[in-house]
Amino acid sequence: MRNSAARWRLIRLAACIVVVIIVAGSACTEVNPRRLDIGWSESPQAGLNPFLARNEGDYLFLGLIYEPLCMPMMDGSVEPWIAESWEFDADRNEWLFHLDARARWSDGTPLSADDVVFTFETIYQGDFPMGSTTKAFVKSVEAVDAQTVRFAMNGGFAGALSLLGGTLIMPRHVWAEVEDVAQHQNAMPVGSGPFVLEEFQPRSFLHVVRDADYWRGAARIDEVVIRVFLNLEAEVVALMKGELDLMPDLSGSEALIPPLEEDANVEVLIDRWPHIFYLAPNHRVDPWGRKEFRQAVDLALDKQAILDTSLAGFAEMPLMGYVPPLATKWANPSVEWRGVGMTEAERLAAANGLLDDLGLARDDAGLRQTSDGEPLAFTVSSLTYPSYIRAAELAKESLAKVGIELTVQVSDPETLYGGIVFSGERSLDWQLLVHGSTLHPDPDHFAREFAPVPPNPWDNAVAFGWEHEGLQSLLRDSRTEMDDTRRQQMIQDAQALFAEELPVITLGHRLHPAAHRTDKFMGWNPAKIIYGGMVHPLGSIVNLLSLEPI
Amino acid sequence: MSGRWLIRRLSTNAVVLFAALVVNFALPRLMPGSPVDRFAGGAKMSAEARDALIERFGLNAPLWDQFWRYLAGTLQADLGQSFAYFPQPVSELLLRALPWTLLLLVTSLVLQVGIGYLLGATSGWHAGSRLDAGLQTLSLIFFSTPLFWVAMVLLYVFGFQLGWLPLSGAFTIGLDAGLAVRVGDVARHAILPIASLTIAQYASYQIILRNNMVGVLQEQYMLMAEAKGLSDRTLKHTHAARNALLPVVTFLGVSLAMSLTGSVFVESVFSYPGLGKLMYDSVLSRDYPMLQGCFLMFSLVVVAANLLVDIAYWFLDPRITY
Amino acid sequence: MPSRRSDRVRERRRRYLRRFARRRTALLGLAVVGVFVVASVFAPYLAPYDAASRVGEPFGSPSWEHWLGTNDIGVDVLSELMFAGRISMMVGFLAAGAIIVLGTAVGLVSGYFGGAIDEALMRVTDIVLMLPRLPLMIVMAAYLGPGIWTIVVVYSSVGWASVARQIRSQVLSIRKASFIEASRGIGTGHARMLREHVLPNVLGIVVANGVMELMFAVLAEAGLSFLGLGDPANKSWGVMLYFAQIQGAFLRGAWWWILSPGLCIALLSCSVAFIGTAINDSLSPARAGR
Repeated sequence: MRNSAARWRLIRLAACIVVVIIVAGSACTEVNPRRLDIGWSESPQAGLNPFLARNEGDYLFLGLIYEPLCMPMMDGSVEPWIAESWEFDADRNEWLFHLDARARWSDGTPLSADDVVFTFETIYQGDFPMGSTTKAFVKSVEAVDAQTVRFAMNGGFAGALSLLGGTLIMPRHVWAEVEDVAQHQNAMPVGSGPFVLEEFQPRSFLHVVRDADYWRGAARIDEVVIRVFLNLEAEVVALMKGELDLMPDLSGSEALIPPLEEDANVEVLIDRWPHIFYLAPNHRVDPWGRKEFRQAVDLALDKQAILDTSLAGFAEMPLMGYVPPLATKWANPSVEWRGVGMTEAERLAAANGLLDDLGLARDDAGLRQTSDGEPLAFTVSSLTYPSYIRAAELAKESLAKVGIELTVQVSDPETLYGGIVFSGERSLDWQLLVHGSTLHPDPDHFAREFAPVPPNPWDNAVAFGWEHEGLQSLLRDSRTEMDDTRRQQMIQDAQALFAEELPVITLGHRLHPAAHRTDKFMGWNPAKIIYGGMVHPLGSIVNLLSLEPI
Repeated sequence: MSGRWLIRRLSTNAVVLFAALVVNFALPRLMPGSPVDRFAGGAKMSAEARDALIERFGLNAPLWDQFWRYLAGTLQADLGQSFAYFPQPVSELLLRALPWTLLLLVTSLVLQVGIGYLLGATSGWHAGSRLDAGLQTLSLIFFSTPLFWVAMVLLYVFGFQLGWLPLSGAFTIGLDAGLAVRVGDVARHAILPIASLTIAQYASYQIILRNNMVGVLQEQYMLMAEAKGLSDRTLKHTHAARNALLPVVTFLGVSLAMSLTGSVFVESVFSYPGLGKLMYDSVLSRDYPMLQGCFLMFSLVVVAANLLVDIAYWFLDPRITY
Repeated sequence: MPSRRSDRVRERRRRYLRRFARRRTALLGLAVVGVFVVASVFAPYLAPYDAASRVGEPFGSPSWEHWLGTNDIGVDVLSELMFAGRISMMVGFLAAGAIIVLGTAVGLVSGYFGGAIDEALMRVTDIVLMLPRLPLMIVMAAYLGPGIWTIVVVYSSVGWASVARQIRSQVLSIRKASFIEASRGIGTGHARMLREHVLPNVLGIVVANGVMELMFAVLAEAGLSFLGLGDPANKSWGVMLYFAQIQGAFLRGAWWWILSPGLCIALLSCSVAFIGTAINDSLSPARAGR
């Protein structure tokens, strides 16, 4: 039949076209060999508007285009960047930053002190997240001359340099014309950084190309692409297949690290990180308000098992003073967990002893009760992250051995944090919380979170319902202490008290894994650790500038 | 046979869209907690910042007022701004994602019908035989397997293990090449998502077209007497194909809605930048305006598809009256 | 009168059952569902290990001690599967139950009373039917927050419509039957009428729908959990897959961890579908072909 023969011919033709197209497509999917592909598993939140930058991804993306005054290093030192030097008076009430005269924007305009002043004024006026930590301390910002900026402070601020210095600087001549900064998409960004925008697809990728006239000397790689992956496995495989060259952040997918470590062309770097992973009790709920009870719980928890399972072992055993061990200058190494070096039986015996002394006797089923006959059964709340849930499950397993019953409950951040814990309302609606956060290496945050002035519901001390006059006044004083040695001593003393008091029970500190290929670029220099936004050093602009195609 | 039927269908579709709007408006206001808390995404927020937000979203106005404002905004394609990507308008992100989803959807639908016809006709031709039973069982098995799981397995086999096809995305970024290569590149990226969608959803067509073939065969005996000289096979195919048109068109609307649902899973497994991934992404980042925008866009696509089906039906079947 | 009617119903039921039993796939399906139900209900006694404790090496491959290997933290996958089956099936049964009750009620009322009530109810039903199901469920689940009940509520609030439609059209065809008009004539009350005459006649469709809804509910639970909208603290098969994917089961070569929950879902829903189609076919033998 003619009809059906014709149909078959048509089908065959269509099939041929499809095959040809696919072969053509696969034959030439080569991209520029001098291009660096970075994998990222979370899209940036701010798009291209740095004033709205909130998370690590924002700094990773925007750090290619914009630059800060200086780069605070992991070890506490600070590397000059737009500012070539800085000075301050004796009581640190006045700071002067001297800008590098070579600095210029990608459109050719020189970068001047006016730009810096404009940036900070805009941040403080609009209450943008970038300035939330420094606003209270800065009285005024002014340009002394084209190359000098003066910050006048409201009294001393110990963490000034690393916090002010890390802010990305914006060009006044571009932004002054923007009507509403908070609403601006900044589709054609003009920055001072080594790369300029080629294409940006929100939630998919950012593509930048090298600025040949970059003021510090052009980068040796031609292009950088940051690709956003939803599927972490696919991201790791892309690195193994050479579709990606760098994954600056593998945390949260620790289970995927072993196969990468076996790949000869991939190097995995495990770095220490200013992270803290803890259980926060609600001190208003009896008996969590009692120090001895918290100590017993702390001893009963099998922290090694928690770190080994929830973080796949990529973690450090805890320092109990809330300052992570990475911050070597500030951390008090003597406040390590009391359970270190004890066998499980010894730990449980010690915990049971403490609980018995509190009069929390066991019933027939082995569950402990308060003197009023209330069973010690609590709910431990967790966000939906697998590592948190695993930690909560293991805490449940551990505490069951000393007669305390936990139920794991999972929630989303709006309900749990926004609606309950940090809202200042419904403060009795939660009992125990698994929480983790990445801290700034400067311990100012420690004082801010546990001795807030004025007390705000979103600060830890208030949210957790914890008070301790001695420890809190010590922390408050440390914020304005300008003498480094004395500040160090105060912070260390505070940690010792904290470890005794246990406002939160630290479980450990996450390590930060990153991975990169070694066969396409050389000059990976992870020793030169920079703490730009919060991204891993491998992804920082300093490292990318040192890369060279093989 | 009049336009009344068509008008009635049109009005139903309009009502559905309106219902989607009402759902979108009501959900955030019915759910526990204030919409403002959701804007903050669990971040710590001062009382002043909270009041400012309430003011900005007009949340202290009377409910009716809010609804009219919302309706007027939506009609002007103003769906608000994404929480997670703050200054980006929701509508812009949606429009950017839509073509990718349509590409997957349309290609997969064509394949579903094609494969469904091929297997269904075979199955119906041999109705009652082992082949029939086997094909039917197979289709049921595919039908009841979770789509995302099929996608994961395909990704693992063809992307990870064999390395034949790309792992994610819809095209190679920064590809500097001619049109043919670009088209090929897009095609290569679309193969696995389309294959997953098709495998999981061709079954319904197979079943419909099998039953169609069974019907055709029953008529056949009568036809045979008149149409001597025509080969059995030809008769079957031309006749069956003509008969298959109506049930296939009728089912297209339903099937499109199902495939749209499937796209959420497929696109999130393959990080394919369409509406489904946008929706999954918004779930992860709890981006509520975006989430609602996606829902509205999905509703719009379903309604549009149903309209097309209705119109096609109106042309195809002159018997329709309602 | 009543005894003769119930005789007739009973006879019809017997006929359905005979036809049903002739379908081998349906019996196979029943057997599989039976095994799943038993394995889950008696999981605390049957499972080789506790599903919450670490009993082996992480990512251990299948062995004599662990038939289906272990997961990322060393939990026995077989035991986890058995316990997870309880959650999956519980969600399935609850959601299917809710849908059936809701859908049957709407369908009965709408078909039986007709008129304005019918018009209004069916309009709502059409709208719910046409709204894209999964996106609507996702939006609702995102607002309600993770939890088992979220899934049940979300799924049943969109799933009842198709059941209602089918029940209604069945009721309409019964209403035409003379015996109802007759009993109406002698003044039987609405409630009694619905209970004694209408309900028994739609029972077949109700059961068939319920079975299919069970399958859809199990699949929906898996899907929502996979998207991270389930309750990760209560492990269902979908939640197991969610964890397996995030913890890189494929990349670590732990295929057993990712294949087995997927197969369980597929096997259960497939068996349920077999049963469902068999019921459907025995209700209307003409459709089954030769």
